[in-house]
Amino acid sequence: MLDTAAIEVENVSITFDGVRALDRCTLRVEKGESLGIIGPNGSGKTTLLNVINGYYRPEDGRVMIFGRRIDGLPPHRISRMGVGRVFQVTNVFKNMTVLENIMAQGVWMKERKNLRSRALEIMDLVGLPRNLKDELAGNVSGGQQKLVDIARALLPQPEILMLDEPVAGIHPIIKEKIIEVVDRLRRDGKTLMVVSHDIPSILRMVDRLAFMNAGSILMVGDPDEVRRSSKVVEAYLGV
Amino acid sequence: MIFPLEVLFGQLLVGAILLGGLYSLVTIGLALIFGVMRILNIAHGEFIIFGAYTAYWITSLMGVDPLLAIVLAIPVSAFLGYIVNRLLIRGVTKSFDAPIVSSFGLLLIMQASMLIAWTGDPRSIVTPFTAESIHVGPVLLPIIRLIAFAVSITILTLLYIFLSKTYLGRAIRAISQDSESAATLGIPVQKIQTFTFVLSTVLAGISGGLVALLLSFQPTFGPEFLLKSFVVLALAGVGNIPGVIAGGLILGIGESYGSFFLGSGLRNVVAYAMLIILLLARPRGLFGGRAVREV
Amino acid sequence: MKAGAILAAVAVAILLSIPIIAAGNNFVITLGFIFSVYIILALAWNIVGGYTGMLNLGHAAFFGVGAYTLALSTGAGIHPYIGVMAGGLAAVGLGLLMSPLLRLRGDYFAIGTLSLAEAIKVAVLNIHAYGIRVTSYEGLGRVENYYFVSAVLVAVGATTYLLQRSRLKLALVSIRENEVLANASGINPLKYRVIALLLSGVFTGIAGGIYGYNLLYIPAEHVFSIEWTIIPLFMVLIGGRGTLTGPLIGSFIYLGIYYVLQFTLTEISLLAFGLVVVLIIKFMPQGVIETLFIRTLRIKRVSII
Ligand SMILES: Nc1ncnc2c1ncn2[C@@H]1O[C@H](COP(=O)(O)OP(=O)(O)O)[C@@H](O)[C@H]1O
Ligand SMILES: [Mg+2]
Repeated sequence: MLDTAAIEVENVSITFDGVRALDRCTLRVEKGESLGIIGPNGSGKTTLLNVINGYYRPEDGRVMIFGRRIDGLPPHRISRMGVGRVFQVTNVFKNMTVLENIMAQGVWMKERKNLRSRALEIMDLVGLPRNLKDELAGNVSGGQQKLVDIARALLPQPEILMLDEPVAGIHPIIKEKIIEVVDRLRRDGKTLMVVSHDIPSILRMVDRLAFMNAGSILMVGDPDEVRRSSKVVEAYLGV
Repeated sequence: MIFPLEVLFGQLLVGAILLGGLYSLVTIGLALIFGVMRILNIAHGEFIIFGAYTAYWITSLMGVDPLLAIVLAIPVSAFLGYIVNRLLIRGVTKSFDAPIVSSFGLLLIMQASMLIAWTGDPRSIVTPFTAESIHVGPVLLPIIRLIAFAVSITILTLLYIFLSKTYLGRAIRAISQDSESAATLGIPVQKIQTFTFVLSTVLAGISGGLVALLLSFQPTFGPEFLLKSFVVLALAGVGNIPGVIAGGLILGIGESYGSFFLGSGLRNVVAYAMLIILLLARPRGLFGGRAVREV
Repeated sequence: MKAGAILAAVAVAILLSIPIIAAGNNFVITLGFIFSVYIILALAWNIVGGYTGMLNLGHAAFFGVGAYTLALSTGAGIHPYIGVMAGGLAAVGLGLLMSPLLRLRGDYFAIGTLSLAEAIKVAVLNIHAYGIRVTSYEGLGRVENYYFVSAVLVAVGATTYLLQRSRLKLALVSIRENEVLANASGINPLKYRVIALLLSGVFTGIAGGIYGYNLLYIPAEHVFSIEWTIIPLFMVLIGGRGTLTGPLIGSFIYLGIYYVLQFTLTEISLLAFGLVVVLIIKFMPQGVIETLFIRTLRIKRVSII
């Protein structure tokens, strides 16, 4: 049991209309670690998260969560195993209030009571002011919607949280909040996968960094080392 | 029961096909608006009946030939379509159900206005050849139905050429695929939607004129044509013209054979049953697969 | 919240005292009966059309099936009020039959339900071109029927109130707002939509049953008429969908406008009514509640549940 990782991706490949979005991609995320993924646009980062979530079924290879094989399971099953996801595009139920948005994630949960108080606690945790709870989610700022998105993902207390570009295009003040929240989750021992273009921000949220290009992970290691590697510099400047 | 083959595959089939051609034309206006503007126009049948009355009054008051009257009715339908689009449709198109409800309001307005203006008396356009038929072997072809069929298929063919060959037609199709991308390509989306709406009301009006040649009609007959159009639309999938023609023919055949075997009372049940089974089995329409050209 | 409870208590008290106040005035009791039926239908339609956002244009079929089941049951010698409940059950059956349509996209669902309702109507008309007679039952007349319908109205109101505060509502509204996201949050859209449709059906079927018994004669054309779909739909859209107060306020506005127009503009009432509908959709697409109360009067919105 000692060597089960939180997430294991082994030789996963997937093709869309002839484009090889993932090409024998292999990656291992240990329990309690926070792994960052960087890579040029279109290198397959989002697709990798989508495969882990179960939105796409890999053509080849396997995916395991806590040692259990999950490729082929439907998204809601994987979600209920404790895998949270914050999408690249901010996604809220626009005509529901902020609080209802967060609580919607708990509809299926066994626990009958406390849904509301738990949702309120999570609002505090991500730094959403409580007086926003009755606002329609469509009416709060873009950055606050992102916080709602993150709060929703956190409601079932997932062991693993995957965040896709959580700070892209976000107002600097909220961006700071988001980085703090992710950092706190990391210190609390959650397993995290963070995809971002923003290298200074990602360095504050992760323990290790992976570099992805053309559908494969080319390098994983100490953030500073990866960042300075000639392969990475080339890929970024070369495109 | 045994039916002679020449009845089953002769007269009945020919009648069904002639009827089906008209159903295609009756539907095309609804299909165009649905395809391009994503609006389900519940008042579609009223535009058809309005076209029938316009042609009726032009021919009976001015004494012109009925077919010419249908042509002369075109600007009237176009004008009505323009006004309706201007006042009711523009600006409420964001969600799919607001236009459904407001076009239902339009249905009430048009139906009530027509009842007040023209009473509920059944009318029909009588032509010199209304009772004439040609004999082809054992089969009887009523001239009026032949004309309606020929006019319908000609108009649909012209429309098909227009949509696939002209700039305007391509722009309409581009909007039906993805109006946001079309806008970024510099296509004037709103103008073209207005044009499409007017075109649709004109097509509905023409089909109404043809209906008036074949059947007697009343202000309250609109919903019947709306439902028939739904069936054809569901058969065709979103606005592809060959699909609409095929859908119209299938409806014509289904209805004719259905009422022949089950009794005319169940004529419409056959149509609805076809529709529901189709919706469930092929939600995108029988001919609405990916490869089919969309309007 | 207290104000709401008092208001609800007053409303129920008025509802129940109408026959006493009317003191045998049949017109008033009948009007109260009809209004209650409409309001039940609006609240029931709202469960599907408002909370799940699926435009059910086949609602009339629930009503007609309820009325027809009642007629058939009394014909078989069953107690009429049991026949009314059987009408509700029959409507649930119809709801199950309709539920595969819930997989469809919104506009196709609208077409499908409308056609299903029309098909049922035509089929019934084909068997009973004029309708069927209901055997009346000693001691169950206008006033008793009025109380029955009031009880149904209170039940559907209470159901909506509880729904407002339930996880079911969260599930339904989140599916309405963004089906993909809801699915990603572990919610199965079809399951919840079916639940909503059956709830909507049972109340409408019961309403159809009691309406039929009150008429004592069931003209198929009338009980399956599309007006039993369209009027509730208007009531909900006028008031605002997906709430308890929206359909209630919408019902009063609708019935007010409708009856005023009927008595003043008899000839052109439908025309004027069409205009009202069009104007409301154009200028208050979110309904009166959202537009007047929340935006203009700035009444605070609260997350209930
Ligand atoms: N659903 C899809 N259909 C077609 N192509 C896709 C789809 N998802 C991703 N791709 C393609 O896969 C490649 C990787 O995309 P993505 O994972 O979004 O990259 P990144 O997130 O690293 O920018 C791109 O070429 C993209 O166009
Ligand atoms: Mg991406």
